[in-house]
Amino acid sequence: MKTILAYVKQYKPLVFFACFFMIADCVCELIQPLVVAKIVDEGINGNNGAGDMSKVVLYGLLMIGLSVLGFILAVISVRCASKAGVGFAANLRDGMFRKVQTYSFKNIDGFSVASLTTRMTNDLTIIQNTSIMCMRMLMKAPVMFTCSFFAAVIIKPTLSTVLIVTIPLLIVGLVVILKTASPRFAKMQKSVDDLNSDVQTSVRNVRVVKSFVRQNFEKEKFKKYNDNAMQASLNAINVVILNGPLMTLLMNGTIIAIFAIGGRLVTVGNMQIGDLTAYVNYINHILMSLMVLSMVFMNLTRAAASVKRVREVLETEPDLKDPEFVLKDSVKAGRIEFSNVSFKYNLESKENILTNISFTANPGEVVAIVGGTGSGKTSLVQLIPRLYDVTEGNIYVDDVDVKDYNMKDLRNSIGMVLQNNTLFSGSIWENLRWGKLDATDDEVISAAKAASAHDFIMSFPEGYDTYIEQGGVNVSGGQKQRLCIARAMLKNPSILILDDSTSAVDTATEAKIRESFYGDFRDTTVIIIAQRISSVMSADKILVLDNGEIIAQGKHDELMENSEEYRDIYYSQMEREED
Amino acid sequence: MSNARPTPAGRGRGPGHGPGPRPTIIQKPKDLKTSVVRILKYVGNNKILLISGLVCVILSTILGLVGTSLMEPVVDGITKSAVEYAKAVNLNDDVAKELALSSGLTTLFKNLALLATVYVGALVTSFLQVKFMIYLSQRTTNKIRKDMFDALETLPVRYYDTHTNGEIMSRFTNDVDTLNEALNHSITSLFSSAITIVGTLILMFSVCWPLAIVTLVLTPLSFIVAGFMIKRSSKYFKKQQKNIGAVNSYIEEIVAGQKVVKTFCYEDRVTEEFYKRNEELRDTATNAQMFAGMMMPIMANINNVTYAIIAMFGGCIALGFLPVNVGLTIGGLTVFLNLARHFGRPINEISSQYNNIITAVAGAERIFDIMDELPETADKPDAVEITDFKGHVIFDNVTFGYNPDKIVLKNLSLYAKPGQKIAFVGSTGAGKTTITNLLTRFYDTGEGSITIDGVDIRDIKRDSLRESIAMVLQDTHLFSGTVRENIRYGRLDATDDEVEEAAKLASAHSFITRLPNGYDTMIEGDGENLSQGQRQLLNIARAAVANTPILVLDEATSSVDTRTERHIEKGLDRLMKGKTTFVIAHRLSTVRNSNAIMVLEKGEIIERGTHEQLLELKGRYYELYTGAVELD
Repeated sequence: MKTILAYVKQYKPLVFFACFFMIADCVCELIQPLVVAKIVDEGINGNNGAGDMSKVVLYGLLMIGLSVLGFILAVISVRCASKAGVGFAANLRDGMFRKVQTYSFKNIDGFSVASLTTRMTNDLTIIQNTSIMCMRMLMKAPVMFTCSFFAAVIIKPTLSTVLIVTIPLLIVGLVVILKTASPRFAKMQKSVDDLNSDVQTSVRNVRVVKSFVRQNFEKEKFKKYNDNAMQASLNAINVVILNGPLMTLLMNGTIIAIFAIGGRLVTVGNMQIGDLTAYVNYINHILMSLMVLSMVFMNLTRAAASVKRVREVLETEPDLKDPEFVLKDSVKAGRIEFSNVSFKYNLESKENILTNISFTANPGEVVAIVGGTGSGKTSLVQLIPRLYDVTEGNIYVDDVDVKDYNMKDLRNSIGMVLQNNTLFSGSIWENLRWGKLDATDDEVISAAKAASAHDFIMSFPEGYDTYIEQGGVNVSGGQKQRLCIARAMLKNPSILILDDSTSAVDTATEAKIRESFYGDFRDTTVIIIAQRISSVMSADKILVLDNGEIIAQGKHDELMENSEEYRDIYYSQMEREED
Repeated sequence: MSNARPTPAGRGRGPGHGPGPRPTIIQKPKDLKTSVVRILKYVGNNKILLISGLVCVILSTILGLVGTSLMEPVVDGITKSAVEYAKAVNLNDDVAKELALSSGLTTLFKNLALLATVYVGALVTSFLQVKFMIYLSQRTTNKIRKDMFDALETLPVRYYDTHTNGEIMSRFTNDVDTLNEALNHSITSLFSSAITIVGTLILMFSVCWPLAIVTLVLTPLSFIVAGFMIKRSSKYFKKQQKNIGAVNSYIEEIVAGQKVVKTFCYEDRVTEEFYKRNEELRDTATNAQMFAGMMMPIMANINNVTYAIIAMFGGCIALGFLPVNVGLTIGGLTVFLNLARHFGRPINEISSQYNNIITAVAGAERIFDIMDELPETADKPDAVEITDFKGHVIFDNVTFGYNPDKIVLKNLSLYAKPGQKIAFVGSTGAGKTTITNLLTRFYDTGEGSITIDGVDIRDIKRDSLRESIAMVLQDTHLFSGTVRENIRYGRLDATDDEVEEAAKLASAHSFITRLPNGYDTMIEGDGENLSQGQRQLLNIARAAVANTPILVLDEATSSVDTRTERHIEKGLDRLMKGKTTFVIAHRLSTVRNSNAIMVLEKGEIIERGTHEQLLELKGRYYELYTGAVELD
C-alpha cells in the first residue's frame, strides 16, 4: 500500500480539507432534524399551543441558512475531493508510465502489452473513481454513524440496548452475505470472460466457421456459455439481493422494538414523546450509514483488485542496473566479442536459449546470422546492447564488458532494428529523427537514401511530411522496414543490428541497402539476421545457429562445403532440381 | 480487418456498485419509440415475471407509504396514554395508573402489530420484486445475446470485413450490460418513483391543498438547477473524454513500441510528452468530477430549502396568518412535512434513471442493428445438394468488385481438373484472396460464373458447397479446446482413429504425441502454447479430416521459416493428392511444383503456365523469381 500512498502525498492537505468540510456538511445535515423539531415544538406548538409565528420564521430562516451553509461546505469538500482524487490518479498514471520506462526487456516480457495498457487505463479509472467516492462517502458514513449513535445514547441510554443487539446482527449478516457473494462473483466474472472469449474466437475465426459450415455448432456452443453466464450471475446476485431485505428487516424490527419499549417509558413519564421520535430518526441514520458502508466496502473490494494490478507494475524492479564504475562512456570502433555466452530468459528454466556462443565481429565487418525459427538468433543480437543480461560468459564491445558501460551510452552507440518494427504516429521527419533528435534535414535525407527509402518517401504527395498513422499502418511492410532502417542509420552508430528487417523488401532494393554497409557505413560493424539466404551470402562472416548453438561459421563458400545445415537452408530456398 | 481488442470497460458490472460518479455523456437513440417497442417485445417473453414484478412494485410502494402514515396512530396512542397515566399519577390512583398503562400498552402493541404486518408485507413484496426483475433482466439479456449471436452467424463475411472485432465485441459486453442494468433496475425504479410521487401528492392534497400547491410550485426549482448542472458537466465530460482518449492512445502506442523506445534511449522524451497529456487530463478531469460530485449535495440542499419554506408556509396556515382556512392541525403538518421531506428523492431518481434508460436504448439500438443486418442470401429454392463432387472447377469470365465502382477481378477464366494444383501469385490487392472468397461464396460473383462439375455454384446449396471445400488460411486460428477437438472441427463425426489418421497425414502426429497430454492437450488462447508451425500443422490436419474434394491454401505457409515450410509441405503434398487444390502464396518456392501458376496483377491474369514455362517467358514471374521486384 505504501507504494501507492506515496502518490497521494502531495494532496494530503486537500484530502484533509475534503474530509473536514464533508464532516462539517454532515453536522449541518444532522442539525437540521433538530431545527425541524424546534419549528414544531417551539413555533407551531409553542406559546402553550397557541403558536409563535416569529419562532416559525426564525427557525425556518435558520434552516435555509443551514442548507446554504451545507451547500457551500459540500461544494468545497467536493472540490477538494475531486482535485485530490483526480490528482492522485494522474500522479499514479505518471508514476506508472515513468516506471515502465525504466523496465528492461525482461520486465516488459513479463507483462503483455494489452495487460500493461489496461492497468494504466481501466484499472486507474477504477482507482480514481473509488478514491473520490471514498472521500465523499466512506468518511461521511462513520461520522453519521458515530454522531447519531452518541445522540441516541444521550437521549436514552437504556433504549440503546436494542442497538447493542441489532448492530452486531447487522454486521454479521453483511459479512456473511459479502463472504458468500464474493466467490460467486468471481465465478460469474469467469463465466462472463468465457462467454466473451467464445464470441471473440468465433468472430475472429469467421472464415473457418463458415468454410466448415459450423454455424450451428458455434450457436450450440455459445448457448452453453450464455446459459452458464446467466446461471452464474443469478447465483451471485441472488445472494447479494438478500442485503436489502436484511437491512429493512433489522431496521424496521429495531423501530418496532424501540416503540414497544419506549412506549412504556413515555407512558410512565420516563421519556418525552419528542425524544422518542428523534430517537427513531437517529436509528434510521445509524442503519443508513451502515448500509452505505457496506456498499462502499463492496466497491473497495473491486478496487482492491485494480490496486493489486497497479502495484505489480509499480513494484516490478528493473533487473538491469548501470555499473557503479563506468569503464568507458562511448563505443568507438565497434568490435564485438562473444566469449562463451550462454543465455536463458528465465533462470529457472532448464534449457538454455543460447549455449556457449563465441565469435568475434571486427570493426566494419558484416556478420550474418541464419537459422530456423526458435534457433536463438534474436536472443543473440539482443544481448549486444544489453537488452538482456547474459546468463554465463561475457560480451565485450571494444574490449570492455557491456556490463561496464552505462546502458544509455552503449545503446546510443548501437543502431538496432527490431524484428517487430514499430513506427510512431507523427510525420516521417519526426519518426526518423528518433535516431538523432537534432539531425538536420540533409542528415535525415541521407540516412533515408542509405536505407533506400528516399525514393518512395518522395513519391508520397507530402514527402517527408507524410503523417504516419499509429503503428505505421498506412505504409507497406517493405516501406516500414526501410523507414526503420533509416531511423537506425541516422544514429550513425558504431554497430548496426538488423533483425530480420528486410524480409518484405525486394531483393534488388535489399542489395542496394547492403551496398551502403560497404559505403557510408563501411566503418560500422553490421550484424544482420535474415531468412533469405541471398541476403547473407555476401557477408564477411555467417553464423549458422541451431537450437541455440553455433554449429558452423564462415563465409558462404566455406559453409556450402562444410555445413550440412547451411546447405539444407540454401536448397530449401533455391531450385529443387539442384537437389 | 483489424484486431482491435474489445474494450474491457463495463465488464462484469454486478449489482451493488455504488453511486459513484457517473459519466453524464448520453448517447441519444436514433429512433426511441421503435427501439423501446422492440425491447419490450423481448421483455414480453417473460410477461408473467414482468407483471408479477410490477404488481410487487405497486404493492411495496403503497405498503411503504402506508407504513409511514401508520406511525401517526402509534405516536398519538403513546401520547394519549401518557396523558392519561399522568392524570392518574396526579390523582395518586394506582388502579387507574395500572389501567392506563395496560390499556395504553394494549393499543400500542395492537398498532405495532399492524405496523409490523405492513412492514413484513412491504419487505416480502419488495424482495420478490427485486427477484422477479433480476430473473426478467437476466433472461431477457440471455435471449438478446443468443439472438445476436445467432444473427451474427448468419451474416456474410462482408460484414466481418467491414467491422472491427472490437466493435462487435462491445455489443456483447458494454451494450448488453447497460441494457441489463436498465431492465433490472431502471424500470422498477422509474415505476416506483412515479407511484411514490402520485401517492405522496394524493396524501398531500388530502392533508392540506394550499400547501400541496406551494410544494408543486417549488419543485421545478430543483429541475432547473439540475438541468443547468447537467449541461455544464456534460461539457467538461466531453473534454475529459477527449483527453482520456489522448492519454490512453499514447499509452497504448508507447507501450506497444516500448522496446523500440528502449533501443533508442527515448525514455525521457516520451515521459515528457506523456506528462503534458496527463496534465491536460488532470485539469479537465478535475472539473468533470467536480460537477458530477456537486449534483448530489445541490439536490439535497435544494430539497432542504424547499422543506423550510413549506414549514414556514405551513406554520402560517396552521396559525391562521394566511386567509385560507383548511383546518390544518399540528399532526397534519407533521405528516405533511414528512411527506415533503421524501418528495425530492423520487424526482431525483426519475431524472437519473431517465439518463440510464436513454443510454441503454441507444445500446440496444446498436444490438438491433446487428440483428437487422442482411444475412447471407438464401439458397435458391431449386438449389441442389451435392456431396460427391469430382472437382472440376471452372471460372468463366468472372468479374467482381467489393464495391461496384472498384473492380478487383477482371474477366478471370480458368479450368482446374481433379488432382491439379493451381497457384496464384501476385502482390497484395491483386485479387488472390478474392478468388477464394468467390469460390466459397463468401462473396457472390458479379459477372461471369463459377461452376463445379458443371453446376453453377449459385445453384448449389451453400452449405453443401462449403462442405466440399477445405481451407487452410494464413492466420492460424484455433479454438479453445483440446487438440483433438480442434482437428475434429473439420468433421464433427470423425472417430478418434480418423483424427489421428489425419494428424499423421499432416505430419502433426509426432509433435502432438510429444505434448504433455497428447491429443487431449488444451489449446490456450488461440494456441499460444504452440509454435507457429505447429499451429499450422493442426490447421492442415483439420482440413485433412474434412477430406473434401477441393482444397484452398491461402498463404498457408507464409509465417514459418523455409525449413519448417518444407516439413509442412510434406503433409500438404499428401493432403493434396487427388484433390483440386488452389494455392495462394507469397513465397515462390511454395508454388513451384504447381500444375499451373497464375500471375495476377490488378485483378487480371497476366501470365499463366508452369514454373518452367513462366521462367522461360522472362516476364513478371521471372522478375519476381529473381527478386527484381518487391512483392508486398
